[in-house]
Amino acid sequence: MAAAAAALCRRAYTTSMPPSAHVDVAIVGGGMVGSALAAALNANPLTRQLRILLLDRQPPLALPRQVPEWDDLCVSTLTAPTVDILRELGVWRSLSVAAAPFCDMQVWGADDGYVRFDATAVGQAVMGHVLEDSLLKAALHDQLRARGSTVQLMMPATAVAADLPPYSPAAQLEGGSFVRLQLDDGSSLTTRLLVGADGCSSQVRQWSQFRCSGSEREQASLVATVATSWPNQTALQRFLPTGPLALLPARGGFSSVVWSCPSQMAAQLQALPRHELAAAITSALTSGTHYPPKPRLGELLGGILASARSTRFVAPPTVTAVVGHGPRTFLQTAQHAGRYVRPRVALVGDAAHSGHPFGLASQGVNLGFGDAKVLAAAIADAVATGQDIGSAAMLERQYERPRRQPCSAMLSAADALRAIYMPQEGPVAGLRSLGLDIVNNTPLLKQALLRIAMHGL
Amino acid sequence: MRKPLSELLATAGRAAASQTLHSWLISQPSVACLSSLSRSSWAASADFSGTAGSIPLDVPALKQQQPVPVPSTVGGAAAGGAAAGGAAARGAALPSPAAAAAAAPAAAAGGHGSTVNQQEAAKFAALAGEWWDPAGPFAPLHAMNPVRCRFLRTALCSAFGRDPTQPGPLAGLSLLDVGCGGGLLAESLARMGAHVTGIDVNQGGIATATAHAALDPDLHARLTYRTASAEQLVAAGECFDAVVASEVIEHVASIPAFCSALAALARPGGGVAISTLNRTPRSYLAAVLVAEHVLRWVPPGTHDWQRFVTPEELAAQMEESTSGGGGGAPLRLQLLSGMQYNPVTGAWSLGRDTAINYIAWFGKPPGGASPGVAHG
Repeated sequence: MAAAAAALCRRAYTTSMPPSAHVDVAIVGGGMVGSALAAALNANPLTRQLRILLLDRQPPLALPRQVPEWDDLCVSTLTAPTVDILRELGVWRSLSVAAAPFCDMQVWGADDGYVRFDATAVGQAVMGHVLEDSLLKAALHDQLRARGSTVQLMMPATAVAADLPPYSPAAQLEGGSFVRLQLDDGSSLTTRLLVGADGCSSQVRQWSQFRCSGSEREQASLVATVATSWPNQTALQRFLPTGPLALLPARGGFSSVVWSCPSQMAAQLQALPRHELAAAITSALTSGTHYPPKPRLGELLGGILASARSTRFVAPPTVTAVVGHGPRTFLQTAQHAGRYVRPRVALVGDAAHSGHPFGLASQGVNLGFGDAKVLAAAIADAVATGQDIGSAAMLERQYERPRRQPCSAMLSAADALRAIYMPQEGPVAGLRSLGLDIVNNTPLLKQALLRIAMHGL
Repeated sequence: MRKPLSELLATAGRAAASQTLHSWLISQPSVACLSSLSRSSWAASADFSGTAGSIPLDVPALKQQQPVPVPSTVGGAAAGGAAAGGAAARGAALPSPAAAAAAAPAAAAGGHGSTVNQQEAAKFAALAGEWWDPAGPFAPLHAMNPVRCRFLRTALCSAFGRDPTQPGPLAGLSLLDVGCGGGLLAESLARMGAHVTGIDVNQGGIATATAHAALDPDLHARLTYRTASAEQLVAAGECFDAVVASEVIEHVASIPAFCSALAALARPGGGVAISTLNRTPRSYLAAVLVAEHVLRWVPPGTHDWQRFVTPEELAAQMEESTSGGGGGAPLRLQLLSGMQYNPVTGAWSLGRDTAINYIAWFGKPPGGASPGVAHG
């Protein structure tokens, strides 16, 4: 991973700023969501003239001239609204060649019952794209360094401390109302709005002292790039008792494996030799007494339900080899911040709500892109009506309130999936496969679920 | 049906003192009766019933609450004369303590001008320190601020030929905010690029505004606050590109004099923006009954429904105030918009319904004598 990062990085980019400089928006965290927010602010004529600063510990990335052969290990599934955002930012053209589209998705469990979603059922050509995180980040960094960009990049740099203004306006009148940020090289700067885009272990969230509700489950994610017996075109996800295992199409005919399991199990799998790991993945996908799942309802109704193609079970391909840079494990955390904003501070992306291991594979970043879009629009609206961009009332009304509901709903859905798929016995297990059968054979219900999956909540 | 009813009510209305009428209104939730009666007491001193395009006095029309279209000519002299007569007659026909108190201290205060209503001013003096708390007593103004700024941005950009899609479109314009209070509107206008002078008779509000403006180095240079009244500035011969009086006109003692002062302070080619509450049954329900007594958003007694001005009356006042004295072409109503509050989402929006809150832009035609010192 470090070697790949070094290969992709062209040059370190630092701007030296005079001490105690003042900016309008300081974004801490130059990942996918932070960079997207900076690019969105830069693209809007209303917010272009704001002094925007992007801070990150790592130097900026650059898109390689030739797309590498293997996928990098961290991939994300991008939904249609995210692709629209990237298109508006002007980075999708360079990324579409590297992204792997898929038009159907199949979800099944350890027992009978499965659902297969097809994008053509709702008149769409593709359901989503799978793209490496590093390429997405590199494209956004290239956009931010292009000619005509007014965003200032301080990469690498680390913010070590922040003085945040108090909540009450009377106290702000006495103590001054801007945020003062201390950097690791000793300099400091003041900013009108501090945006925390620094991931699930966010420092900005800690400084803001927001309460977090999170699960302490010891769950880890094993990611690997694999070659399969035939090119995989479907996003496959099997909910095992230990966690979901996803096989996502990647470019070049390869596939990306994301296996959520207890961290001990993940460590054991990572230690296996490559061919054994490939066999383990295949057996996890195809094993079990109820494999391949036979839909009881489908059998009863026989050939009456004509849409046989879209309801047939697609057997996953055999995983032949683990390619690329080898498997890695990441510890999964599920955190939801109690508030997203306070005077002069806003959290976006994983800093506000980080992914739940039982969610649909790798699509937490879509919520983050939604956050970036809504926050950029809120800041533009504040500029248009002469409001203070750091005002807590404006941030709460225009950003937190619209985002709270979809983010909570997505995390609740992930919790619900876990509650459905964890039990191995009892009424839930029995109804599970029947429920999946019903969904699989009811076009209206499937289309509704498909629209949610493709466009978010 | 219409004429006999209004005559009957006019005689009844003259007899009823405004204060007892007001307390009777609060105790009687039947709004349709109320509005026709109180309109009569206002109309008792000024005969609006014969004026074309005026508010219909029959109850079914009131119940429909259609937004009344702005008439192109509002029975010019009749309404103007009626309004002027109304201002003088108000002191006689409405023996409310507020009006009586206004006459005496206004004369005694000497130099503060005749439009300052001391009792109204005192209501705001008590809350001076709490202007900038978005959850405090001025929360409704904070919530409404973005919407009125959006209207002002559109109106000022179209009047001065600026591009509203660019940041800082009001750069180089000199604006006067009359009754600026704690500086809520003045700061927003300054953020859009204008040089804003904010005036208020309330010393505490000016102090709060100055302290808050000092927090932001970008704004500090473009904001000036003074304790003064509009009449004092007119007497000093000052002149601005545009004058804004937002949520002020319902608190002044004499509306015609206030309108004249605002018109005199705007240079030819500029204009005056006024936002206030309409005097309709719905505005009584919303601004007095619900906001003051039920929800307690503002302390009871903040708004006197009698003082509310309808868009037609305001347009008539602005036309009459410049054509009457002092020279200069009359200000014409060019943009009118209602501001509606959605109680479910808690958001304000601009719309066509002017029944409760509205904001209007009056343009002063270019050319004609521009008196005194112009502010660059």
